[in-house]
Amino acid sequence: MFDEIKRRDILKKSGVLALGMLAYPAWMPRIALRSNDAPPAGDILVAIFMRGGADGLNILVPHGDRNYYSLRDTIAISQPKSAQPDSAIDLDGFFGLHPALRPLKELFDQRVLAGVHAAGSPDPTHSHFDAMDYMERGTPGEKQMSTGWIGRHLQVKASDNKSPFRALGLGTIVQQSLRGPVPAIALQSIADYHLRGDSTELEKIQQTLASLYEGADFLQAEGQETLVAMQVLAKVAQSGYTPAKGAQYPQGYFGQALRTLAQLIKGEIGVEVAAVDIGGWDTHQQEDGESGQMPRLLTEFGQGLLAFYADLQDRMKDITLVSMSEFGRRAQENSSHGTDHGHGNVMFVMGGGVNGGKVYCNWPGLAADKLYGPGDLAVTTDFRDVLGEVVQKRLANSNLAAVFPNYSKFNFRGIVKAQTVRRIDLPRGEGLSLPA
Amino acid sequence: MRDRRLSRRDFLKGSISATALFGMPAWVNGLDEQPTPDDLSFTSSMYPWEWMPPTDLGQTDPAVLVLNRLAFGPRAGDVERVRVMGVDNYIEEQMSPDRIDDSAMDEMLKRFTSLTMSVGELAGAFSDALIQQRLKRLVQNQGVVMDARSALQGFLGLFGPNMSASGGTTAPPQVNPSNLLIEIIQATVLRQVFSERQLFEVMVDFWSNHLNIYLLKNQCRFLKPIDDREVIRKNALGNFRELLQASAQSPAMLVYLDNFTNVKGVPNENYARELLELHTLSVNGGYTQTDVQEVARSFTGWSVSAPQRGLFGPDYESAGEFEFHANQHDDGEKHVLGVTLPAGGGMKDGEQVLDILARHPKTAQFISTKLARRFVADDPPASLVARGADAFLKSDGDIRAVMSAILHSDEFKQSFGQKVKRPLEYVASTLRALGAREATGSEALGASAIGKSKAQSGARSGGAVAQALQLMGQIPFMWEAPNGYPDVADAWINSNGLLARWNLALALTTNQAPGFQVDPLSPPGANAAGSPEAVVDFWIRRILHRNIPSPDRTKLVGYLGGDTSPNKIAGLVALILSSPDFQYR
Repeated sequence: MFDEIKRRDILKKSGVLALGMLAYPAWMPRIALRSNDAPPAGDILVAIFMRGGADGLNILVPHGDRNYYSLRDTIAISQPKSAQPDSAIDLDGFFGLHPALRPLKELFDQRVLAGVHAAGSPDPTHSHFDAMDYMERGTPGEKQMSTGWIGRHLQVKASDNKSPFRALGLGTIVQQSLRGPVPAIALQSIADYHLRGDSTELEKIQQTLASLYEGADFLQAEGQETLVAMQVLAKVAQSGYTPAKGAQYPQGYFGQALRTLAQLIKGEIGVEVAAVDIGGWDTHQQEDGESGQMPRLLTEFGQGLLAFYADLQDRMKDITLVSMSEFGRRAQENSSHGTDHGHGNVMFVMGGGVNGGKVYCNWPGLAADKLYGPGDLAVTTDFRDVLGEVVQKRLANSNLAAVFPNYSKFNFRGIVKAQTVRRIDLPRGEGLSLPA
Repeated sequence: MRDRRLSRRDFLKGSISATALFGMPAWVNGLDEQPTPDDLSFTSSMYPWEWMPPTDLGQTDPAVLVLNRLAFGPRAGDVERVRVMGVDNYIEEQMSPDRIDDSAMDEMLKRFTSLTMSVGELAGAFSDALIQQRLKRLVQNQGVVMDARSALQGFLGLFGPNMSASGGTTAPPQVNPSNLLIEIIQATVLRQVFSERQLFEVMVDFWSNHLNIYLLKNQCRFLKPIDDREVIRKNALGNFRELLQASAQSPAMLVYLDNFTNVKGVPNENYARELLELHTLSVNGGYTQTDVQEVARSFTGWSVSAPQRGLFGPDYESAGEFEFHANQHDDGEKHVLGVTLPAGGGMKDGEQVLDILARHPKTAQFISTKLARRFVADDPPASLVARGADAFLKSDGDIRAVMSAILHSDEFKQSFGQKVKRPLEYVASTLRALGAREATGSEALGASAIGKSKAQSGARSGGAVAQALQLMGQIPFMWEAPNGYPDVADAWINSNGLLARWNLALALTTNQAPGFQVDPLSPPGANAAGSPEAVVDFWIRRILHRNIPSPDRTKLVGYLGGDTSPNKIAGLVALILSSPDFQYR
């Protein structure tokens, strides 16, 4: 039993709750839409974390730098040549893509994908766990903040998005970057997101569960989140999903996570930020070649991004995807045809609002005296410059001091276009107003 | 601005009612019918995003406490038994696992033949076509021969799929390789549920995470079961220095952290770094990048034996054992953490490093912290950690001494509710609380439990237990990173994990979890006319062994609605197992 009076009062106070009558197929469930005078929404953010320290030098290959080849005797990606299938795919005469990233070349040519090189964190740590922690908290060198950068962004941004799906962590454990006062839902699969068992009892059990999980502490709140999410996702799952023509998601967790995310975005249930992981990048040995990790991982990564773009098409103008990794890898290869932990790395930014088709970089070079620490690629673009630019220009949030505390010297490289202030266009006369 | 602060529920309801007026699909209205917790408002200032332990459970019966910390939860009769023998005596009993009769468990494990195989037998029996091909190509693609590459080649060799351990042309391997992978996982979970040596199993889990090895990394598939036996289980309640030595020489660890390719001239730092950061000093242990490199140099040459060339093919008899390759060892002088290791030390270099690390106050602090986190609280009290570290140093790394300091402390005694069950504890404690038995003749855990990243093994369906563990993300030995599974509530309590727990409870209470048998849940001796209140009280006592807040009890009585048929009782028990109360330990 719910409180009729309370609801009516609230509706009276807030004025008109309008619903868009946009032309979506009937099967797509739409539940939470914003009212007409909502604050600017900003893009949907998709933050991809490549876990393990992805080898940026072999992902976005500096084939124009001679030192790259002298440092990587056996694992360097050869210079672009039309005949060789294993050579780098040239982008701008200096940088090229690992051959397994052919899908990204398409996006690059369409100018919706940008690369950033020699990017990363100023902290020198080579510990995966510390480096990931610093990057996800958005506070290099410091672990005081228990919140993540995305969690803080959601906290301070003016918004009336109360959907439980506002923040989504694809996977079994909610990513640290999402931690904060706005609750995040951890999600592996839409299809499984419901109670299973004898149907007559389930409803009563679900009701009792809801009452047992009343309360204000963390465990209870998570339980409440779960119950609401279950109800919504049950409906989403019922409709089934077919990706847009041309969207071929790769098998595996990463591809399926992006597919699920695309489905939820199209379902218009209020997804605003999502965190997705792709792991396995810690290539200490046998990095490349037929038995190496990189070709397989990069195929998954590239195909995933391309499929996501192809699936969401026009909607990509309101979506910004950014990838990062906790650090890059050592410039020189090690004795096992792999690489040890490094520093500077590559980031990708993809979306309709991206000034793509370019590699943004202040290339420090790989000469011995230009390397950082024990022989790493230096960092010339702080990762917060990239993320900060996205937050401010694409996510309608200029409170960067809250998102990235203790960092003030932001240096935007012009990777994304500033979003023009817009509201959701609702056809005049078809909006609804509820009886006062 | 206040006007716009709608609760999520209200907001949803508002938009739903509106659409109903305009002929949207009926299901949209259906959302209205779900009950609303009265206080469901997620305004950003109110949402608690960190778990704070309840403060009112400290006086819980000590017998219940120890059975939730030293064991994976009480079975029927356990609490009474511990009360009668006394908590201190229970602790002492569990600290000497060898004296505890575990023959029933041994019987259950007999069918897992891989657990007692030698590495030669395992390597010979294990034939993974993918690995064969990959290894073959790897060897073929080598160019210039260097020491490292010879070592690599030698070890990888050519694992012919039809060769037996003795190198003769005998019958093809009997063991299905996918089964081998499952056995170690199955055995681990079964032990957590059924072994009488519960504290031992808790410690095995602890050290398996502390010295984490990912089962699916290359040869770790058949080397980790050896490590489980020879490193972890041999030393779980023993001496830390010995545990560290065994781990450093463990072929599984040498492969997992790449040390078997760590050679003179081109060292590989992976093991050295994690040894310092994760196994001993901790990330704040005060070591430098140079220390990491010097430690790496110290462990050059610590490698693994390759299969020998037999008459008819590879001979696995002595393959996969630790081998020190003196010719690959960097024998120069080294400086590690302020200590000079003179040139010519050979294998003693690495052992000296282990000596330094095992004795180091930072190691004592780190190990004590992690044990206190496991046994007392996510954020363990500094005073307790200090006493544990002290016990570590004074006893030269005797694990039992640290355990004793922790388990007999006041902090421990008052700590019920300070920990939340991780998925493995949830699964095990649920099975134990329900008195589940292994269903004979069927697999408790299926192949899909470990196939999450391998499309090939996705086809077979695992039991509800395996599915739950996979959904919740805590299958033993399947954590890729060296730091092991996290041990704090914030990591595990999320919507995905809770739903998985609720579904497992539902499956088990209706006996729909293949692999386990749960007897019908009728209270013994009670007749069908037992009042709903009595039934609820019985099951609260039986599952939780303590009183719960009266409103919760009322809700459970309300659920029964006067009906105490078996169907409803199954639902009742599922609710108790799903409630917040059962998540605390």
